[in-house]
Amino acid sequence: MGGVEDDEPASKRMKLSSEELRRLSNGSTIKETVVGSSGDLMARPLQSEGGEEVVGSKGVIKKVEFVRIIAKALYSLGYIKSGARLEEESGIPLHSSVVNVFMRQILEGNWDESVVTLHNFGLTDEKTIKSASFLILEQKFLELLDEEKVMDALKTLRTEIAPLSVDNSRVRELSSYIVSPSYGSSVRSPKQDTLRARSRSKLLEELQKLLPPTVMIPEGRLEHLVEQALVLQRDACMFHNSLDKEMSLYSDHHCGRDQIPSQALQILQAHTDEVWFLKFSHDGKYLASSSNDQSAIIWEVHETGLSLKHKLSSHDKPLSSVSWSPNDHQLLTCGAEEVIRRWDVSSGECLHVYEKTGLGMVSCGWSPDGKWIFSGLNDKSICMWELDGKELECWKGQRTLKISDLEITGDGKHIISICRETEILLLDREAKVERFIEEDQPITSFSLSRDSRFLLVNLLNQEIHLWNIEGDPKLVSKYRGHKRTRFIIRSCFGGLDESFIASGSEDSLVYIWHRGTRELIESLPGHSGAVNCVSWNPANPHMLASASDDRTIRIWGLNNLSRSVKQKEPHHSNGIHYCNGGT
Amino acid sequence: MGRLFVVNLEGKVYSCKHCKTPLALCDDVVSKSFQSRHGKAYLFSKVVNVSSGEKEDRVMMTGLHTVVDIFCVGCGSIVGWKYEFAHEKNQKYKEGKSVLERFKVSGPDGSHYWVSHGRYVGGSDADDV
Repeated sequence: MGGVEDDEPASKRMKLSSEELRRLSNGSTIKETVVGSSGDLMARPLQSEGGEEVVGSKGVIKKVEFVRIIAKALYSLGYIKSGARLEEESGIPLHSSVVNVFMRQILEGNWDESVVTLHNFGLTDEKTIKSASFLILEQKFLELLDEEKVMDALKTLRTEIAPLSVDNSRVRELSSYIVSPSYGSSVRSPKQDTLRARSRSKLLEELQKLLPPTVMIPEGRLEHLVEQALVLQRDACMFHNSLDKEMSLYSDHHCGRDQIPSQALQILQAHTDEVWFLKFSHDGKYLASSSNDQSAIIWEVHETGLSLKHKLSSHDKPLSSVSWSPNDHQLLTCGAEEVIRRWDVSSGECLHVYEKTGLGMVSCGWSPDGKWIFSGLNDKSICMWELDGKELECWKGQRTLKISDLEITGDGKHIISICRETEILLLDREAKVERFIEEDQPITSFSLSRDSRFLLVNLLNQEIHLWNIEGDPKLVSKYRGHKRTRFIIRSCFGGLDESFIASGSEDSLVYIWHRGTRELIESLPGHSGAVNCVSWNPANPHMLASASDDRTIRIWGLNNLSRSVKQKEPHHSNGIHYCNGGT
Repeated sequence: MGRLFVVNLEGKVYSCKHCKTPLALCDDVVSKSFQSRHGKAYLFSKVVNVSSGEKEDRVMMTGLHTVVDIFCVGCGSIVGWKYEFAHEKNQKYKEGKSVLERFKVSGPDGSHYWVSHGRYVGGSDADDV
């Protein structure tokens, strides 16, 4: 009984009978018989009691452990009788008798006895024993102080706590409590009464965290395992795009495709030439688009759709990009190798023109506080201006190419641009440190995530690479499927928690991938020309906009919504068409 | 057509005759002894701003090669071909390199090349042995 049998497979687990557990309380050979303690048990398989040791179809759940965490959960929920009944019926006690004794001693304040019991657990780690003893004795000390038994407290500190040499700075702190009684309470919350000792059940919790989980099952273990499973399900859900989808324990979480925008709800036809760029404002209330027709348009987002707010027509060259101010009140437009204009969104008025004699601007961006404008120029430099046009700084040298995007990270510290054919520069403008993303293909465009931690890079060879740009840039994922041979095709992050990647394509489809699994989940037909740019509404995970060579912008939304959209009377012919079903 | 992505070249450049898109650097010329249906052609180690056609097996002057035709991204006109795979060992050096027909490009000084009349232009390819 309880002997070692080497022909038993090591994976067989022992079911503790109550008989064996009573032996535990005698303090005999606990080390070998504590359930689940890895090293020892694996090396010396114990006699199995027969019957089922595992539960579940995969045979990885040990029955004893399973029952114990259920019992623990029952007790946590307050179902004391049920917990006790489970222990009785299964014959599997939640805690060994020693531990039960220990717990009772703690709750009753029998400090010295509890320390003795602690040593009977059969723990091998000296440090753990000492740390646990320290906690117990610290409680003893603090409670003595609360009871104003100062001499006893001092004795405890000197003869019991200090010799442990566990946390000397804390020992000093504790000794200061003796000297100035008020010190302790000011360190804790001022509202708290003069009691310095925490509650005994709190102490028990602390001890639980310290001791190995096989000795005392951690608080909330079953809840933690269930949450882990739910999170895994959610992360694996490729179509997860709605906040209100609650997760149920009854069946695996699994969103349907219907949460991904896949239906063209609106076609916006106001540009007179190819639309090359578009971007939603940060608050998702506006969309700005720019075109080869040398104009930009600000669209307003309503419940029923988008409407044209302003047409900004003062450029003399095709526009390469636009950039929203951090508060969305202003917009920058960049003429390709021309000038940058700053516009007021509500009035549509041009507030300023930024230019440099003999040079042309190639990109534009804002500082996160909205005070400065950044721009790449066609002499490869990057400049920074105050809003009124005063040039503050200029980074010369190989900083940007003629075709490049420009982004400023959310902390205002880093400027990002394509500095060489296959290289992206991450310039820390304060620390003057340069980091690089190196690719082996020419880079055509890039896009920064909302949290500024990731960069989506479009390559010449039709691949989209996701880079983590915190610290040393690391390649995280690759996305493939769309077509690109001649043009600048842009992609973006989007959807709930930016869990999706969307891209334009030369085959006139809009492509959508699930960011985590890299699976292509949608390719949306509808445009009749190359799709140059996409933008996902940051405030509405169900709204995606695409810009195309066919001179239109399509607004994509959820399938079921389109059926309930009423056909609107075109009382202003500003080139807006509503779609109801079909493309 | 959308917003063209063009790789910029610095230095002496051969460009597309029709739309001036830069195609290759003079420094990247490997051999000037190639020929195509339009006369002279140059072998380059690197060519940019071109798109490729379908892979084809072609019997050229120096043997069987797998090539793709290359087209200028700016205007779509065919400018030459690229060697994907050479079936003969001594032609392997051509793999990954591209040929631009002299007739299809403007030289670094802007010069053009005219196919002279009456001159018999044989098949395509050559080696610079």
